[in-house]
Amino acid sequence: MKTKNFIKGLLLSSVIILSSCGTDSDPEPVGVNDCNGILNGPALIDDCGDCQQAYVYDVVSHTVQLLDDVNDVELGQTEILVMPDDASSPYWNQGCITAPSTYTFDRMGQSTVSYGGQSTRLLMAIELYNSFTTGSETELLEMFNNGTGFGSVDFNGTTIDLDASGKKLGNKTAAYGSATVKPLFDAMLSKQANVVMPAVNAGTIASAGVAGSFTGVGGRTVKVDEKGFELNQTFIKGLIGGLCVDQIVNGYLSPSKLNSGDNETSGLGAGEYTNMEHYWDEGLGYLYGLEADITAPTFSANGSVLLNKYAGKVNTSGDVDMNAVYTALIAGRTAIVNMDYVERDAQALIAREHISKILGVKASDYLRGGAEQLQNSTPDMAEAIHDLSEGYGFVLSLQFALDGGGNYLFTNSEVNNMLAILEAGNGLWDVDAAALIQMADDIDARFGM
Amino acid sequence: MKKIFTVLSISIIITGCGGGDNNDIYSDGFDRNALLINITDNIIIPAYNNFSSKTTELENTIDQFIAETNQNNLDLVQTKWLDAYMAWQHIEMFDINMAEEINFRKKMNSYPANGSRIELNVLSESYDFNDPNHYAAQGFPSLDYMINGLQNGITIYNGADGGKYLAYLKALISTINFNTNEVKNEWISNRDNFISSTENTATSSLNKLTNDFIFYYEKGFRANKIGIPAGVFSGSKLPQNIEAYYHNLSNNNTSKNLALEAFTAINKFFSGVHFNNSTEGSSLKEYLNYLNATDDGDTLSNVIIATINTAEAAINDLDDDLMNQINTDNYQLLVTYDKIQAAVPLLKVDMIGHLSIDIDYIDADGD
Repeated sequence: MKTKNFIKGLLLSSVIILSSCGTDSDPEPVGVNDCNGILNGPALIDDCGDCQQAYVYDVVSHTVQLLDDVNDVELGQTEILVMPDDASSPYWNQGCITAPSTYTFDRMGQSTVSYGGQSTRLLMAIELYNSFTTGSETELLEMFNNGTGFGSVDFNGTTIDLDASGKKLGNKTAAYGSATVKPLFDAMLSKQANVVMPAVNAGTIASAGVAGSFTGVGGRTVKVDEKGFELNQTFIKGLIGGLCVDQIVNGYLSPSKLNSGDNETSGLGAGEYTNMEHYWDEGLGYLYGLEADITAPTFSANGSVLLNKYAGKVNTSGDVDMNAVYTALIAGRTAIVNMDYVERDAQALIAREHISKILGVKASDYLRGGAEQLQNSTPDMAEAIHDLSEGYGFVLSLQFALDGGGNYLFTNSEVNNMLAILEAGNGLWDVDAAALIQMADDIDARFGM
Repeated sequence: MKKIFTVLSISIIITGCGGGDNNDIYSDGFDRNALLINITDNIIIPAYNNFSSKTTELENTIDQFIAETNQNNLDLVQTKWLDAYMAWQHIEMFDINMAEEINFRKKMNSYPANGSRIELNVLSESYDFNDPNHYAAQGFPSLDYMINGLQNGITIYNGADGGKYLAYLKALISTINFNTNEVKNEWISNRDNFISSTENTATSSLNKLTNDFIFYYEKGFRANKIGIPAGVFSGSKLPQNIEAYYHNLSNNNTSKNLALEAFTAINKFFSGVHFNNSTEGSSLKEYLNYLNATDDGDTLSNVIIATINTAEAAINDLDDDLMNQINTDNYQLLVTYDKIQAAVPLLKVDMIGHLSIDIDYIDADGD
């Protein structure tokens, strides 16, 4: 915004001077419309996004006369000319709001915060996750890709017909990453229905190279494919990065996405929002979309199986400060209202980095947890498998994570190399603990942890 | 802030008084007019002339086929259809002014063709090609259905309803030629206006050209030719959605050849290479170089060209039959898609940032 003003001001100045130079070549009229649509007019947009006009002020009668043209203005004895950005103007930069303490934004008294589509998708993810042991391949893929087959669910006392929402998970999965990633999720659903559940239902005890169910010495039962992967875990943890984090950090909070939405507030009625405001809210929705009260996020609310559940865990453990994320989301949204896009992007970077870090913390945690279990003299393989299946999903997620500068921390092929280590040979049944620890160390180093 | 403001204003004053006023120079000093002249005179208009001569030849062979409905003449139609389809790859990206007004792109190349709609139109002899419901029942994909897709085609054309099929064929090609002439003639008559629109507003020529180029790269090229058939936007792959599906069924290389031809057009546009030869003129590349746009120590234009070349090489490496590639090893198509996609942020974020051009379209993401 500042840049734009600046350029406008620049052109304006040059135009005024040009005409005063009195060239003989009779140039065509050039110039720019000011923010009131007046050709070469004096109005300027201030840092709060408000169009401010020049005016004549009468210091005795206190009357204000707005001007579309400041050339040849004749001032009376008690009148002064006030340009829009004069230090003496009481209007300039006075329309900005300060960041509220909670995520509360309104227009004419009605809330403009809206992320229903994200809440819907998070609810779909829960339903899909819960269908892993019962759904056929067709049913699971239908839920994931077509957004139907869910029925209705209760959310905060409201019945939501997920099937009628028109929302889908599949087309938002790995949307900003390599096109090779999304099919991995489809393949997990197919394999769960075609390989894992038939073996489980036939009573097959899983072992290296054999899909089925397996109960460890501690009593945990896992349902796994022939490489020991719990596909409900690899899928849902993969979705934390592939859906939530990707949509937030590479989608809605990225400058290119935000800039693609207009932020034109003229003509908006009570509770109506600009595209840019909405994009920001939608980003927030992939994190907090199932919170009962967005003004007091509690983390893990409503049984979320995706990002917010782990946001709660890393916040409790002290690894990632989720209050800093909440504060940045409020400040960035405030900056959008104020049309301060430098501030918006600065706050977005804070949120994007912190949210990305959740993936690194959990990937590293689960890999180490699995490695430690494997290093026991009598490892509980069900526990190791469970940890490492979660770890696999978080490693898959890492390709969507960003650093504090908004750059990817891992490439698709780096992530594929890590996944290949987990998948090699008989997979989790014979993975090397030292290799897992090395991988966790590498992840920590990349995140600066 | 204010101090800087004043100083800069003064510097403009001096230049303003000394150099006089030149409308063709946008405030960054680059000669946008020269760029527009090169793109218009050496790429767009020659590409349209070439295209319109190909569609005229196609109509002649169709007339010949109608006069003497035999396999030999149908083969000739197929050959000329492919020639014209290749030529089309050079103009699809210029969806501007008249082309945009009459939905030229959608009428010419909406695929997959709607076979059942075409059959209904043929038999009812009643249809409105301006109705969006009929976009997928006209243009190249529908001709593909009519001349390459009908089983026992020649028997159908000589059968009881043969006259109706021939009439639809004629309606398709005459509509193509009518629309093509409208757009081509507007390019010629509006040429002076177009090249003199050198400002930097949403409706200025270079802004529209650049936006349409990027949109084409993302949608017409990346999504339509590769992404959609590979299943990037759906739950499963859709090999039947490749470009020129029916011709590709028998020739096993049509879709890939069309995609490679489109790459030639993309490269020529970006670097300002004349349609008819390899002479290079003013272009987005030159503009970026003028602005000293860099990316990781190299010029941004070099990075863009290298990225596009990598993507082109990836397409080249695919099976000649894209459908076979999708059915046997779709992963390679997804990897190719990634390589095509790699140029999108370079064009859509880096390039337009340097050019101070705003993107004028919003990705439809269904929220």
